[in-house]
Amino acid sequence: MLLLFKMAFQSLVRSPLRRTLAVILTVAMGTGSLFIFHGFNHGVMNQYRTATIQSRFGYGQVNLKGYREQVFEKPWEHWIQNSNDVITSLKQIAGVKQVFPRIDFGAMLNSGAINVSGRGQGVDGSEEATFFNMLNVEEGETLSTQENGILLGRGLARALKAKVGDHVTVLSSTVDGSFNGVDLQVVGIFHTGQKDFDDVVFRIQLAQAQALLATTRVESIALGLDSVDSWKNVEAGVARSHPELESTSFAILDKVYYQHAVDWLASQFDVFQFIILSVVILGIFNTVSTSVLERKQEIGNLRANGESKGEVIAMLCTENAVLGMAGGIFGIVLVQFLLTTVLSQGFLMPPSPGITRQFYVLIEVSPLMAVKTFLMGTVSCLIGALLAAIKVARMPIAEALRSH
Amino acid sequence: MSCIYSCENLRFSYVLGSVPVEALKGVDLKLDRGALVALSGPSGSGKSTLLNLLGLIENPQEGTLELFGQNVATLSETQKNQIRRHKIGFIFQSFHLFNVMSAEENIEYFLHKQGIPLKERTQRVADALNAVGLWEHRSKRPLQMSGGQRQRVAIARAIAKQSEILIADEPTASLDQHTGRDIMELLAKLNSDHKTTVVVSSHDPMVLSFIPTVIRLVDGSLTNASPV
Repeated sequence: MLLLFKMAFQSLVRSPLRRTLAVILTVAMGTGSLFIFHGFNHGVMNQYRTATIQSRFGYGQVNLKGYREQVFEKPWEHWIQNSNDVITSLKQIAGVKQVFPRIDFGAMLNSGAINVSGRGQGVDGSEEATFFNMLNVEEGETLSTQENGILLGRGLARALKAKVGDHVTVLSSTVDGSFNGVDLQVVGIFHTGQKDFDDVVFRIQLAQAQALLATTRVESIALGLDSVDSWKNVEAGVARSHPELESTSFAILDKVYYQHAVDWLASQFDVFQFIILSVVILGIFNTVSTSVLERKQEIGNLRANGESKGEVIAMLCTENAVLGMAGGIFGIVLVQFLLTTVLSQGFLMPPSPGITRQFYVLIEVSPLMAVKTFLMGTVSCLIGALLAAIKVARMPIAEALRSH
Repeated sequence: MSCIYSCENLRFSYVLGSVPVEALKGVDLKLDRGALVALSGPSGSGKSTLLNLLGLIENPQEGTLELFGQNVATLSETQKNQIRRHKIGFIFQSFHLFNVMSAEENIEYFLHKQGIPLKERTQRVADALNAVGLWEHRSKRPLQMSGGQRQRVAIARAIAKQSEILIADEPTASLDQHTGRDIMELLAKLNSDHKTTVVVSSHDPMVLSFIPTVIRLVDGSLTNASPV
């Protein structure tokens, strides 16, 4: 075995540079392509998930059980009571870093002579400003500590012809059925990229929304976690400490956009990966076969001097495994270099379905991904070498010796 | 002296393009241990085919070929591999050395495959390189050597293997006359010093001048098929 590896290394170092380089570069290109493609897929999925979590939903939200599945005549009667106690309790569940109590309500907005209906969100501005940083504020600033502030979606602001600093009146009915109104000042205009959302949604402080609706309840509590992996534990923790509540992950809350898009992309990437892998394996096989078949005389000499077919195949496979490993490492190092230089910003992508803005996708690679693609490249090289080696080892010795 | 090779009515044919070629047409031949024999004849006379059969790198199609008293047709692939590894050395017109290995590695590789311990391997390599006058060039790789030096490495490999038989197919065909003469002197010395059976194919008069027994082949048949 030691002799096999010694020969393999000698072959790698001393063979004609053209032959060695051809195999190494082919494997490097193949491995690098797969590595970068996996990184791109991972980046797209992560980017999309992060955008979904940090623009609207958090990692998930908590409601009273059954609330999301039903339509109520008086929904506020099914909102969470004693929200401060629940919030304190939720914060104690391992993995929960932040909580965001919210109210969603319908309202009429008035600016001068213009009246537009909208969808209001009462939020804890100072808390949400630190987490929901994917909300693009294109004018002014986000809603944070401004008690009388209102943040308008881009479409809604255009409909109201409202600018930052303008005053807007929000009219709604209280939980008792009487009309109520509040005068607020526009602090910023945002867009999420989703037009149907940006055309109707506005945000005000939770306290203002509760006063407007004359309630102390909250409709839902969105959760900020330390990691997406903590969701299962948090979900179980909520079920244990508050059996009257149910928790729902962002993937379900945004099923139409997020989960369907992820499933669609994943299927598409599987097809692309199959095509890339086929091309890579064929390319590697072709180069390795050519490299092996160029050595028919050498193999004839080995066979004439008593090497068995198995020994010849083992030698060629060992050599090409070494070449495959060298090519694989080179490909991965090359990609890492590209990721720190020309691809450090990732790829600028056109707007994805339902989104109106371009976005950068980072190529997100991981050590496990590197190991996987390295093995794919090496194994492809090995399979190519094995098939070519079997062919050449089966050749009659005299014919191999005569070949050029 | 005991018989090492015995051929009876040996026949061999192959297809060249789409034309069947009868390379050997019933060859009868006996060679004794320690013989120094040349197979001579024009191109296409069947010299290389007979050498390939004697070196066990082709299988007889018809007739009988015995090596060390054993019918070659009854040997398994593994047994033939072992005979080639331990008993037979080859020298080819185009040298067939490993270009990625140095001269001493080229010699040592097959000793390693024979299972010879490192210390003995090292000694045999040194002795063989000294015998062919290449000790000073032991670290050179084949492409850094002249044709004559490369052929001497091939002979050193056979010396180190301590092969009982040396098959040399046109060993001087790629060399100039002076270098060819040196090679033939080495082969003759190997035969006389180590009692190695040497079978050379050539139609070069210089080569044949070193060989006491010349067997002529014409169109696949022996013209003087006498026991040596």
